[in-house]
Amino acid sequence: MNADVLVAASAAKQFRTAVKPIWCPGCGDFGVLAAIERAFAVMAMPPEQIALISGIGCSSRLPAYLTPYGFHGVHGRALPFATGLKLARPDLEVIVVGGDGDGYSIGGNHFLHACRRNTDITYIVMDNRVFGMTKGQPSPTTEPDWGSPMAPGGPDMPSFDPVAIALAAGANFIARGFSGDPNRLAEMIVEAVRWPGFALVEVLSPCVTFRPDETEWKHAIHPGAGFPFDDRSRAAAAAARDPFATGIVFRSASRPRSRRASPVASGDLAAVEKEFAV
Amino acid sequence: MAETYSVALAGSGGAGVMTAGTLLLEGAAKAGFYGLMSKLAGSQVRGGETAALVRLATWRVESPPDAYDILCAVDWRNVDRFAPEIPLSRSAVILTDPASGPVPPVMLASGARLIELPLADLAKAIRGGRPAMVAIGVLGALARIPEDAIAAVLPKHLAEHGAAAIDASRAALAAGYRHVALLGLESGLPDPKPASNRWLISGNQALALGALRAGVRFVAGYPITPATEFVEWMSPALLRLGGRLIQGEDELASINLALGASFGGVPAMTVTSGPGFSLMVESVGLAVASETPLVLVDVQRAGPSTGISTKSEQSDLNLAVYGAHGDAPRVVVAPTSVADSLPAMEWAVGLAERLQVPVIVLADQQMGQADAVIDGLPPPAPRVTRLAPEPGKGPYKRYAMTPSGISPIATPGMPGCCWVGEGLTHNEGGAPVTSAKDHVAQIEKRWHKLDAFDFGADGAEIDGDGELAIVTWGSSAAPAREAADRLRREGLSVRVVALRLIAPVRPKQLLALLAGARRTVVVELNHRGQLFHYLRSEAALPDGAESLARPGPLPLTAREICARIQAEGHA
Amino acid sequence: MSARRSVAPKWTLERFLAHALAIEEEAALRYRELALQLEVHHNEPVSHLFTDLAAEEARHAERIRRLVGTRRLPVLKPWEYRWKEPESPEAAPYDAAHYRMTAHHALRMALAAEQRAERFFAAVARQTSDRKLKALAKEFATEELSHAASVTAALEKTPAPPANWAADFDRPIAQD
Repeated sequence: MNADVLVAASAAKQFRTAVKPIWCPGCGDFGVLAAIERAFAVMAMPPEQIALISGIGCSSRLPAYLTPYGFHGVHGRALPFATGLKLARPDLEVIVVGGDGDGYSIGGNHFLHACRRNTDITYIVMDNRVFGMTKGQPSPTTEPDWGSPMAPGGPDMPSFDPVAIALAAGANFIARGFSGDPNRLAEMIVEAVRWPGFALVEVLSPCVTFRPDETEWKHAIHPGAGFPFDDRSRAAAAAARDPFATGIVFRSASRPRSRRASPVASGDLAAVEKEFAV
Repeated sequence: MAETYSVALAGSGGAGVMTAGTLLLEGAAKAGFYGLMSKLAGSQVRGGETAALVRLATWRVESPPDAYDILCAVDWRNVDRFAPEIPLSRSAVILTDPASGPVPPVMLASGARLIELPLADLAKAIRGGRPAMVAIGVLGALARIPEDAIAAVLPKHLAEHGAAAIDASRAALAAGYRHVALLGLESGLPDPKPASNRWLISGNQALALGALRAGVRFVAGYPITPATEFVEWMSPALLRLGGRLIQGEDELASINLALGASFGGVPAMTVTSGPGFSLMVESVGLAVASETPLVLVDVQRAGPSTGISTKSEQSDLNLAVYGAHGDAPRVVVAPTSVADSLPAMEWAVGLAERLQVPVIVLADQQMGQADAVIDGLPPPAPRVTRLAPEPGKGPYKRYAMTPSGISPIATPGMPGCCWVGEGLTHNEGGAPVTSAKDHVAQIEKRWHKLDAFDFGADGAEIDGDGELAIVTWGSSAAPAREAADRLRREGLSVRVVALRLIAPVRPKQLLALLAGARRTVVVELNHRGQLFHYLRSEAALPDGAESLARPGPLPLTAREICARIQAEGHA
Repeated sequence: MSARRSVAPKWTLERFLAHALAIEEEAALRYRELALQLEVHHNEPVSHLFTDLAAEEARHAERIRRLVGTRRLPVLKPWEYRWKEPESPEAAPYDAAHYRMTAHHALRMALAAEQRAERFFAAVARQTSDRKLKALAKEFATEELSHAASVTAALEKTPAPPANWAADFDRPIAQD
């Protein structure tokens, strides 16, 4: 009998390292981890061809738990790091992982420009609407009235809407997933990785320790009606109307890739140096 | 005969003074002269007051003169603002166009001789003729540059303005050359020896070319003065060699773009000035902790904060040596001249790749935006490659302890040796840990790999072995060397130690270089002596060493250095 | 993206066995993962319990592999399985875990898992018209009932958690 018939099992065997995750039991990120390794197994990608890049936060600890190459950098700067890596090494599959604080607060500027640059990387955000690792401060996606010691009564400003911002910034592939459904999420990740350009997978991933209220999410999550859209304003309206609708929210019909292909040397150093000869 | 011949050409409102200066310098280079050109400008993006400062000689000049021999003005609007940077002596000549009104009093106060030069009239006689082009004819003739040498470089610089502009400039040049006889002046420069294999290059270009020679194929940067010419030149050059230059959305992105490319195995760098460097400091620490090779070029400008973006200073040394929280040792390299910018950059890239560390290159605006005639360079040295893991040595540990402190580094794509780079304290395998043993071991490893490395003789340029030792760095080296020559002619025994390796500090080696000196003076362009205090804090200077330091933006001159050494001297 | 299956492919023996094997394998995988999570969080009793549950599921998986013999099973992508819930019926959902959970909680998770599995097999038995497959599915459903019964028995012997089982006098600790 074919031994590795079960993707989930072979994924765990091939892609899980011996490093023990520090995430709290109950954390949504376990579901995202499972989804990512299953996606890798389905795509039969050799680990050495993959690089997982992260910033700082609970979610950003993920690269150490998987066997591919990875880099655990500083807070908020995973996207430019990944962009530089992909541009220098277009042969690698580059995946960025992190949380909502890392990605939308300190990383917000890079998020905007990554959507614009359309470099062929996949960005998986584990959005728990809180800064978990530093003990429960509001993040940009926190609801306006969610109180915490840092912001009693709530942040009192509209929450950051990553799907709306990504649409406005020109991202061509935007998906919304849920950590409690790792199999559908794996499917989304496969599509996102295969997408030739920047792909955002915004994953609702509850924080059991600081947002126990988020366990209710599983009852609100449902597939999005009319997904995927290929019209930005319709996608924005649908996503805003229903923040718990999952699936591929927007996929550009024209699949634009970066216009500039990988550079090929057309000259040599001696030719370049001639310019300075008197 | 004059040792050097220095001219300043000023004008505003689009007079084309910078181009004129470039033509003069390049014509001189073609004729076999060495030279250096700096530029002065007001704050306007276009049409402001500008001056081109050109120093010519038959030997390699790399520093501004004590004073200019000729100040020629197309017009005098706001030129008085440049007075401190265009010092004139009593033997200087001011060429002034009567049509442009009175010479500013501050210029006259020098006692320089005033001679009329009707540039506007001479230019008007030529269809499309420009006063600045006539001026170059006059200055070229005074410098005894053959007219053909300057004429030959007109097409290259004026091509975008069309054939008519080139013809008009040729005619204006000729008019200037003809007019010189009426002025009764002479430069007194000796005839240059015929030259072959000379280059005309700016500091920024030399840095960029050095990076390319050393194998850099990924550059990320954010526009900032005075580093902009670096990226402008680098971008098309990189593309021709199959590399990429990416403009980050800010400096935080730029350094991380470069780190990402470097992680991917491609030698990478970023370039900035003080304000951008300040932003990048956190990621310098990341490069140190994760042992990722990187070159970071800081083209220093007057600080602090926004400072003066168009003027030079040497005040980022502290940031380069210490910047980043925690114990974060790194390499700091400082080129000593425009010519040295190229080999210094090659060296820096090699060090980054070999030692898996960020190397900060302290350049500055004075060198960066100056054009210099230098001797042509030999072909590039063999490239340094990263220490690769050997197959079959057991499970791969990215941060493995080794005698040298340098761990083999796998490039993504290599099977069987995947690793995750870490800014968190980690063990040899790279897993995040909080253990005291690993924390201390990795900190010591990262220091040891620099401290135990033999940087060789490249760490300093030594000139002489006299009793008065001048220690200096960066663009202060050239005026320090000229000062040393003058002091020697007055009977003093002088040595100059221009440090190229600023960090890690090498107290034993530096003290050995200073052995036998009876007086040591550290010369630099920042307020309180950053290099002086850094070396002293590391016991790398003999007792009684002195600091000769002041802030920019005016460059140090040989005269100033001599005067201060002799005034405070007891040697 | 996968089509929302309005018309599901007919059950075949091979497809059914692939699902049955996945149920047991993923159950074992999940229990092992939970065991590790709780070991990291120093909840040894429940960690050991999950390890035992994983071993039990591994034995179930082994039985199914022997039943499969040399048949070639379809290799299904994780999202191609016809589960009613997002995950495979016996894969305990990640969000049911808690670092201070008790054996009682773990056994309740296991019981719910067995019950979901029973419902799955019962549904297949209903849906298929193939007599052999129907019989097999019924047999598996019965098997799951017996598993559920053992878990129930174990539950009855396990003290219910105190009201403040989750309470931790220490506050969370900030990390990075």
